Amino acid sequence: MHLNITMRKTATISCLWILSVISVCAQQVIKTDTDHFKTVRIDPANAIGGNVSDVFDQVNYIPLETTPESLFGNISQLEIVNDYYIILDYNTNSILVFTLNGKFHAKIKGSNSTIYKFLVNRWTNQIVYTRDNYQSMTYCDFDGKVIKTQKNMDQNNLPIIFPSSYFISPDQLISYYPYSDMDTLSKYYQPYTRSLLRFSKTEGNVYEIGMPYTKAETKIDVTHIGIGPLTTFGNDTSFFFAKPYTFTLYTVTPHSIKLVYKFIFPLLTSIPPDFVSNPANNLKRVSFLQKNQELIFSLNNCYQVGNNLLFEARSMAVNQEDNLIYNFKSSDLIAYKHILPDETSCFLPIYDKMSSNVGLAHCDGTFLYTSLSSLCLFKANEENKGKKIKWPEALATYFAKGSKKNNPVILQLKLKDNL
Amino acid sequence: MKLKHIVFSLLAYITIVYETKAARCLKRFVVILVICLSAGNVSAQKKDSTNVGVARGLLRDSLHNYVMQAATISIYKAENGELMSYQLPDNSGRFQFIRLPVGILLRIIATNVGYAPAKREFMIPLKTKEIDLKTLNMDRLTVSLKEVTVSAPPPPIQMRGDTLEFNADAFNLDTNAVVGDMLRKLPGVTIWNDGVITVNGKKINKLLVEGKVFFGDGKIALQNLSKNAVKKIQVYQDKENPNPIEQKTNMNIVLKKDKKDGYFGKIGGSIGTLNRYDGNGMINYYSPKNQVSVVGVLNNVNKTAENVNTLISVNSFKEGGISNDYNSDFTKPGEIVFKAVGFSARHDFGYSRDSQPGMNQLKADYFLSQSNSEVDQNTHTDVSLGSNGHLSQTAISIAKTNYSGQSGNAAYSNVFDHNQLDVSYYFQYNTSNFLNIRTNTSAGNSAADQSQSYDEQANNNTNSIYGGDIKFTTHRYTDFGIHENKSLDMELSYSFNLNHTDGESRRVTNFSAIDSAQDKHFNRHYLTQSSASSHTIISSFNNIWGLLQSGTPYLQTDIKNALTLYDNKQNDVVSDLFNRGNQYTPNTNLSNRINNPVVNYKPGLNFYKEINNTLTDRFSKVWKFKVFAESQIYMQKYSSQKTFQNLGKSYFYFIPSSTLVFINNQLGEFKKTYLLTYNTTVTYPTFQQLAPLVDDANVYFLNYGNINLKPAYRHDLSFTYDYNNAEAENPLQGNLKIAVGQIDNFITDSSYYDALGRNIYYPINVSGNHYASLGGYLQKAFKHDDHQFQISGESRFNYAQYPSSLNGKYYETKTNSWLVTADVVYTYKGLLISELGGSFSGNRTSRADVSQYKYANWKTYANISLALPKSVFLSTRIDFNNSTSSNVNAIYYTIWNIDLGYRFLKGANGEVKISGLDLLHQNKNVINYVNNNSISTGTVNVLQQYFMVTLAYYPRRFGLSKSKN
Repeated sequence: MHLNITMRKTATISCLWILSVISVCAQQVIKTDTDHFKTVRIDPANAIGGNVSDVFDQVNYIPLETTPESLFGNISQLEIVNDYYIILDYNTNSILVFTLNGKFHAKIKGSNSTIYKFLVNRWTNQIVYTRDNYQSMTYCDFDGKVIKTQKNMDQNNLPIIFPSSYFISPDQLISYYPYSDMDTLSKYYQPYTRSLLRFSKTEGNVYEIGMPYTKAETKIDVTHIGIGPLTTFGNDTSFFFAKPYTFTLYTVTPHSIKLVYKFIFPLLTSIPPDFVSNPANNLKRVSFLQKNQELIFSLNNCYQVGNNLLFEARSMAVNQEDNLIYNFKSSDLIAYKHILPDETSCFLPIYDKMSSNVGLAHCDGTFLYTSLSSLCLFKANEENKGKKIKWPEALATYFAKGSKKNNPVILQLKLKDNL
Repeated sequence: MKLKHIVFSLLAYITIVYETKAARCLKRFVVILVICLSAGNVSAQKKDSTNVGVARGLLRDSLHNYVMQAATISIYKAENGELMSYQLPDNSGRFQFIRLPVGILLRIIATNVGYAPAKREFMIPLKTKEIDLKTLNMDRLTVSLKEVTVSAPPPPIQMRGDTLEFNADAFNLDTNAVVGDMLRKLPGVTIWNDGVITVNGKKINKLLVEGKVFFGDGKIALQNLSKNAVKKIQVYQDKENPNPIEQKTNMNIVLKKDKKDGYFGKIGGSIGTLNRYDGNGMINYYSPKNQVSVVGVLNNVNKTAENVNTLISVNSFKEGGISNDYNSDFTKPGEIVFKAVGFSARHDFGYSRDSQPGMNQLKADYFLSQSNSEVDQNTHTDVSLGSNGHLSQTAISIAKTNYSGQSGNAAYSNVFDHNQLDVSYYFQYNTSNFLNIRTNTSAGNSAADQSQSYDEQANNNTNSIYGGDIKFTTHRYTDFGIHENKSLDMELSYSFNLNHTDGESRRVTNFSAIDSAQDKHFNRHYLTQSSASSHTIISSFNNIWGLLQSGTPYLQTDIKNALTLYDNKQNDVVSDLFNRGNQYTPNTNLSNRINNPVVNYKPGLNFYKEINNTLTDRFSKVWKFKVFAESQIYMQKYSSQKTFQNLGKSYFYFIPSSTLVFINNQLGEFKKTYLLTYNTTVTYPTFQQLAPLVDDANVYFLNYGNINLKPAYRHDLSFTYDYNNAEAENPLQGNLKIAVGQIDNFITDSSYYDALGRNIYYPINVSGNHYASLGGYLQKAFKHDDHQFQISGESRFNYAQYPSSLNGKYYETKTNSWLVTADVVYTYKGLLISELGGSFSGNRTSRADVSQYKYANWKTYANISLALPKSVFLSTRIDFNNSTSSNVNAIYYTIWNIDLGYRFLKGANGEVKISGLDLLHQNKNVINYVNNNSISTGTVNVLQQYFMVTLAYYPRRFGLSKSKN
């Protein structure tokens, strides 16, 4: 009898699943593989600190040239390609290109429309961004020269490239779309509307989708803070995907989606387990988070370097134990903000608590990148006055000729192999 | 083509970006605050010859292998727990205390949220005068242990998320200390002499108690709430103001769990020489949801108030230093007997800081007052008639007024997630009896040009006013579920006002001159009924282009409309009693009935643009441009029984205004604000200016109208510069303002004086009215340990020129006035507050070839409030006054007041005070004013020397629930 009920349940669920697949049959659905994953228990309160030399093999500070033309506020997006740092700055609404030694190379100035994100096509060496809220996309080379401007509408008059899109080939993209409560009768509704991940050609057609969702899930209200939920870390066609509110991390490639890590946080400091599934929370999740600021609700800035997983366990509140490094071998959990400067970092901090900063902004598979404001570094330099520090040439020049009003400084970090 | 889908999705991302930025900004603010405090040598150290020791060390969480940067380290005397010093560690977890006592046992305690306090006792050796405490280790509390009470005094300051907290129990103050006493002890906090509070140079926008306004005014909490009822004081960014560039800072007082309700008040009585008396009583009750005040006063020492809140604020347990604004007002003209009683109540249906929005409250006030006053005034007026010589006029008047009035209002407001509703209703009802006896004399150039009049007026008036308004505001917001913007930015309001007056007056006037043919006698009776009603509808639809497109429109455009309909009615019945008659005869000239409907409609388009040039961690420079293209249609109609008063006037004017603002905020250095504004306003001629009925009983001043009078159109242009530095301990703020303007069709006097001094006046339009002003102020505070100096100065210069007509000739009048004040306040702990200052105000008015008048007033004052041992306090103030004026001798007088008091009973709830007021018996009230071609000088009766004994009791209890239990 019990078996019968179970079988009936399974049959019903299977039917529902088949129905949902049929509803998006115009595109191939990439099945999510949830068979093999690792459970990671994380208690941020018990993350450890240490000195820079305990955690990192290399720490390089790269001051970015400060001239009237290159002056900018803050690094909101950082991409590294072909010997260039490509930086998005909201303050000046521009994309700036610096060489790897920090010399200013080029600048792409935004129009009246704010540039919220740009894409890099590593196959064609192009920077792609929008000047008109994704109606069209402008393609530039790394000298900032406009190559072309292309309409960004598919045959259904929907945008092809989206803020959370990445190139996975010269002419293919992967994009993340948040849950949407669009009515099926809307003229913009498409079979692939109810899917979190979409694969498309640059000329428009969506050819694959991932993570389809049901009508019941359309009322999941999400707010994203930080870098994600799609992140890349050295492989041009492989991404981490942090599914909203689930503390699960998937690897996404052009033809596969696999659950790889499932995080478990302490009950008292994270959102309730049924936070995403309970329909009573529909359209109230964001306001709940705003009222319960201490609760971890999101994984951001997710990267993997060797045996180390880096991520931000994000809550709405300010927290010293949110940027974490987890080592699979030792199971050690390190709180990045608690790592203390030492000789390896010339006694300079590796975390800027004075600045509004996106944290670990980039990972190329070997190095991690973040940035610090000159205000922070000059203050640290002032505090280090009594110490005899052997500065690298770039830093010696920076402190000798610069000021706290200089451009931010890029910090390149190489994790130790065995933490 | 605009795609809804794109809009939805983009908005989701835009929200992400802004959420991120806002959260980061908040973090940055917090961090900067911490750094300000830790770098600002946060200390409350005792300074004497034994305090020369140094203690240093490192604070770590060894288990987790990191240093503690956000912890608070405090040092206490081991024997009695007295707090000696506290600070936050630096970025590498190191701390160093200086000026600690040597050779005695000290206790160091480190606290951090989520950690068990780390404690150690130590003694700084007399020889070396320093000690290295090495590493002080802290252990995290497990979740279960957090519930366990850990025995350690609370840290003086700590960060909790985005909030800076000061724990009250860490600050040892007198048991009778109030919140204001505690704030003066806090690092980075300055209470300015004008009541403004700044924290690290940032002005506190709202002072709240338990997240709510406390009895209408933050000052009431400062001066009444016992420091011992306070758990902590929080400083945080105002979350209701989402603009990160102009973030406002709030201060919230969190009460101890068992002190969430309580009462405080005062009952006091004073008797003095010359039958002076002064009694007052007040009780205030508060609980998490309710605030109720009942207050009453009775005195004959010129202490008056116009509402309940004023009376609550002046009956404080501790006065705000030396600026007690409810002392007998020695400058107030006349002698006043004042009685009042009122109540104020506020109920919150549910509101706390954590659950904002959701403010849902009802407020109600009622105030009943009665006053009897007598003002005796002697004035001498010199009237220049240009080539026709001048007039010398005197006036002696005695005015007695009995006034009784009551007023009340109720207001309900409810703030929802994305909209707000405000409803209010008010009423006033008052009656007044006024008797004025006035004797005027006028002397001209020759002996024949002499006249005098005796004028006696008695008025009885009753006046009632009712009104209310309802306002609904909505805000556009993003619905995260469907990634769509919803609603709109809009304000809609309706208000009404109904005013009815019944008046009766009787007037007897005897005018006589050398030439008896000019003599006049009037005995006139007036009955007046007037009613006025107004209904106003205001709408504002903001950022309309934002409804049609995603993102921020290039130019924000608002559509604004304001329509007011007035309906005024007046019925005058006037009659005369002639010589030897005993029956009043109707005066058909002055009896009248008037209806006056008015339509005032102001449609406008508001254009707004903001350009923001921000470099994170360096500066934010913001330009704001606003142009308000507004026009005004003003239609008025008069229907009267007098044919010449049947008028209809319609006007249409364009009344634009614009604002240009530049804010330069350099992080950690200064904030400069430049403001340029241009405004236009139209003043429409009143009925009294257009076509009044001339009352010939007002012999010396016959006011005729001018039916051709045009509206006056005013242009104002002003530039303001504000400076504010970001220093925590020595804040500086200043302001400079330049304003110029002109009035087209300026309405001015055309006066004809006859030889007997009678003035026939009617208004005329003239061109050539210009004015300018220049002024500024500067405030600077210096804080060093327990000593604080505040220096402030202000200067304003005004210039105006305008033409007017005198006896048929046009003259240009130029007037200059100058005001200068300077003030120094020195405060030492809560024990001594002293102030020294001075002020000068002067005026010079000239008409080319006709007259030049000037007057000036100097005042120098000194104040000392001293807390003496054994709960004795002394307060004294002395004002030196000097008044000079054209044509009269300078007047010098000094007012010296002194209070000597003693606080007794447990909690210092009892007070006895002896006051000597105007000890030198010199008080005067000097009148100086210039009116075109005349200057008037004189004196008014005022309070003079009296002595008083006061007995007061301050019932206070914080924490009623506890006592119930």
